[in-house]
Amino acid sequence: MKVTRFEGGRSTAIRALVVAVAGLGLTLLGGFFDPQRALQAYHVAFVYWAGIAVGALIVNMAFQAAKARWYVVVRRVLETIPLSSALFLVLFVPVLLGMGHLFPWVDPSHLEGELRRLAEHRRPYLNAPFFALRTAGYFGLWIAVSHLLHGWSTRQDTEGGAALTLKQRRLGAGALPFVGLAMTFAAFDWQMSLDLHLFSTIFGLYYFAGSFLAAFAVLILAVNASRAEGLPRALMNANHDHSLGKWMLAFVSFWAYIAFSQYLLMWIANLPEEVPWYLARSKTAWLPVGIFLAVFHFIVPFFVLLSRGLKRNPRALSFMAVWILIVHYVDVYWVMMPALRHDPEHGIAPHWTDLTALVGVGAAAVAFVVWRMRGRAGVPVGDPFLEESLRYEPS
Amino acid sequence: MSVEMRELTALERGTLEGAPVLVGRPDDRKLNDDLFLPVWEKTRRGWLALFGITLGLTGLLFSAIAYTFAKGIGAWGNNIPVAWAYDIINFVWWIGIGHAGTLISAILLLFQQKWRTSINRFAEAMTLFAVIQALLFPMIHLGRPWFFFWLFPYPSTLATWPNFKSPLLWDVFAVSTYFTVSLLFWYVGLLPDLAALRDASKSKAARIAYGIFALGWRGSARHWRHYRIAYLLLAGLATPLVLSVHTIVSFDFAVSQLPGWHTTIFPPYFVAGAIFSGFAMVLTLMIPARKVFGFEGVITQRHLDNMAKVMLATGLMVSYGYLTETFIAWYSGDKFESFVFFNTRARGPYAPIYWTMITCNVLVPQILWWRKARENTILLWIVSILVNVGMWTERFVIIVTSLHRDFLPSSWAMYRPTWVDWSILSGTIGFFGLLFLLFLRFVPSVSASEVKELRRELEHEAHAGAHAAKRAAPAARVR
Amino acid sequence: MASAATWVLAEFKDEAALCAAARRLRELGQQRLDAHSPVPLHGIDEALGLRKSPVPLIALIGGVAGVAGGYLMQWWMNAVDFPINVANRGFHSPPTNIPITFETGVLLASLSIVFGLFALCGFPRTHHPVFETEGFRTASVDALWLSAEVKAEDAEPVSRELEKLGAVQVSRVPEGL
Repeated sequence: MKVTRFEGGRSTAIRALVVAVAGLGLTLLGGFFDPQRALQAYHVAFVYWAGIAVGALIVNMAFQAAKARWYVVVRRVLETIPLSSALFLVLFVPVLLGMGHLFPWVDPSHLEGELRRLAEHRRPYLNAPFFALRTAGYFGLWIAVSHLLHGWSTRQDTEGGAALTLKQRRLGAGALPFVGLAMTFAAFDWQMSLDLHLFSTIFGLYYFAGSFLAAFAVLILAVNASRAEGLPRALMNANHDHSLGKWMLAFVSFWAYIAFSQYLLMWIANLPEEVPWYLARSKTAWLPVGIFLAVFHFIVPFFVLLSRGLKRNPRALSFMAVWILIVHYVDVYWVMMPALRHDPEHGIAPHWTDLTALVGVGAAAVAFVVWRMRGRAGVPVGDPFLEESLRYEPS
Repeated sequence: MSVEMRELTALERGTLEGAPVLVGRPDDRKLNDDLFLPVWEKTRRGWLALFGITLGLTGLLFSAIAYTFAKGIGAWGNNIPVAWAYDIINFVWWIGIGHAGTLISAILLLFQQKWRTSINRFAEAMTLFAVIQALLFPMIHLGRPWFFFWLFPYPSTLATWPNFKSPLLWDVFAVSTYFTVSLLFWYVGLLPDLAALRDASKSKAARIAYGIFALGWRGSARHWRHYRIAYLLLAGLATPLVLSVHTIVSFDFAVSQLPGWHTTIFPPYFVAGAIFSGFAMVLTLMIPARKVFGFEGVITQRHLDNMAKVMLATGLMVSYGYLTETFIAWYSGDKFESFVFFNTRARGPYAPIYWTMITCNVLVPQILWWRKARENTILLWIVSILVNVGMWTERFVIIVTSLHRDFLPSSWAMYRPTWVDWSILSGTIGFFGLLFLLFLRFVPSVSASEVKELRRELEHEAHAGAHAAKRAAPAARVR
Repeated sequence: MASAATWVLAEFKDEAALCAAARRLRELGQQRLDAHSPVPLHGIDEALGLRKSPVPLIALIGGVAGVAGGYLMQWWMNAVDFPINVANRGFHSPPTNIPITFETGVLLASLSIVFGLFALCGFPRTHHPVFETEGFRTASVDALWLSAEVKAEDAEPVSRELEKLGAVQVSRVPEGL
């Protein structure tokens, strides 16, 4: 069997690039009118998309560590998505430049009472230089691991052999604890530290659960985007779709489990030092958003994804993937916005830069990933288990 | 330009695949004979000796319980503020151990893992016996255990209902559901083997006994049709159930406001710890059993290797829990929370227990990164025992250190277990062993019907692989 | 049911022959067929014309009943019949009702699956005519058997047909033995 190198996608990449420039440009324009609000919109979009890239990296690493074979056919896509962490490092610069407008701890002298005490207590950890250094470290790790995995896999396209598979498996397993820790602390830094009242040990898992789920949604959309020869879709069978759907189902449930655990424990203990975070989301205009998440981020997709027929139908599964991406954005927005804006009682008040930033950052990532897909085989042809993956038929 | 898809050489396949899940391709008859041998053979001396020891410990257990009933909870070392101690430590420890069985059976079935097949029966039995030990503890801690049924919602003359807002009641539902579902899952899985035992038995008594338990299984296509889907659905239900049980156990602590107990990571972290200790206990029991019964062909190096890896992975998750807890204890800026982590636990009177926990749960499992260590059965066995010890100390650290020094220094107190506490703990280990020995003697500890199916699948796969290679060959030539 | 039925049992060496024999007997108008094997066979459901198992539906009904029943029980007992205020969590307190609702859902679904399975298979059953043939006992060990419940007068031709279809051995058990 022969697989052609993927040389298409040129027009997709260019179109995505145009959208990205437009979206980011408009966000910048919004920044001239309302710098604070545009920056908030941008930070939410950044955390949303960067989480997906890291989520995809963790999916690949975990599957490598577990020696999974069925997913080999879609692995090239999964390897290419995390390469965008290099792009996200660049996209982090605006957040870094505007951090004084985003994070209350940057300048504790503005704060009063309990918040000031907390900011001063956390000073050794939450200070601008260390924050920048940490983020650089997270990205350094993600960029290194994703490039090594992608590099070995593409080298295997021409060289073949077992040694490169072993390398990928070993790095996948060995670096997983560190990549996971980096994601946890990224969640603490980028999201949790926005609200000084929030200190939740499960918070890293919350960010991971949503991002991991959204990474599967992006993977499903990416493989279903094109039926071009040499890309995974042409080689996949319904069992692959079924498995991808099962992973979405599993992580819809996992997300709900983590979200419910955090909510129940904080609500029931009702401690004045930690419950304000939920009060800001339940005694305000944000309450419907929380209920929306319970219904549309868990109950509805859970029951829809239970259907076997749906999981084996690529079109229907793509629809659910879009669904998941939307509700995951609502989730990230719900976690970050009330904290960013300090005025939850004034209502949700979405802003047009929310949309331009979301589309701009997302389109930039799409353009980057499509561009990185080009010039290589669309499936890891040198992988010794590709043939087995194509025959995937669980009994 | 195009690229050729590659074939794997036999040598490369060997490097990538590791040890086989089934050594050789024994036929059905041989599998039946080998795997049922422990049931048919004459009672071994070693078995009798172990049976005697565990019977003695079981006697100790029930004597200590009788003493507790006669004397009251005062027979234990519990005090105020340490009102929960060995009873709850042992409860959580045993229930945690009881998690691996259903996890191995259910989750690995959903993940289509072939190495599940020859260890699931064993692990599920372990689950049941561990849950029985776990259930004993809350029961004897009730104070008036003869009123245990007050926990259930039944229309009583008291005209009250239980308080469903308490995690302790959630526990009653979770643990009893878990025991029931695990028992059903285990029993349903046993049916084909019970029928095979019935049909292969030489004595009339055995035929009748196994015949009753086989319920009339005839391996009919109609049976299999319902059976397969029922088993899969049970696995699908058991998977979230396993997670829920230890989650709810963690709620017992985390819903409170006590520093060291109230933290949001508890649910997933307890679940990871449960799987960690459960796999450790499976290894502790399986390594000697496989040797004694000569099951190395069906419980291969591959099984041990995979279990060691799961232990490593869950051990890392537990370490992640310790790390985030400690970090957030500082980050929160809460004086009491930091005091528990940086003073009471790490440097307080129970510090040696805390550092034992760190050594056994965080440091020791790291050795499993090396394949040589995973391949060394004795070393693996020692690691698994240390993990069991480590997980027991973890529960001690969580429960006793958090309680013995809370907000007011004037109410601080030390906890010391009495001989009754020790007798009950060692007694449950004996009782657990006793039940396990009976299981090994009367029930096939490896599922023969599933290994038969596994062999067919492996043959089918090898056939499909060879077929695909043949198809690919001409294409390679035209190039 | 015909008063005088006979069970014809035939052992086969491989799966394909067994399925072919089942199909052939059905063509000949014999509908009361069954296959017996130590492991589930591929393609046998189709050969015997068996429909999809109703177990998933039973499980769904049990699960929904468990979830609804569990939640309603807690609501009625703690908010209606015996309202009790614990730590001001509210009489009707949805978050605290979730864990037990989940457990009762799983419990009822599992019980429905297992007892549904027993009911569908007719368990427990202490005896069955097929066990009158001692050779049939290999069906749970390593052999594949086809059983046909036929009218007494058909027993002879069906046995001959099965032998033609490649059965290794054929035996007959008259009903009511």
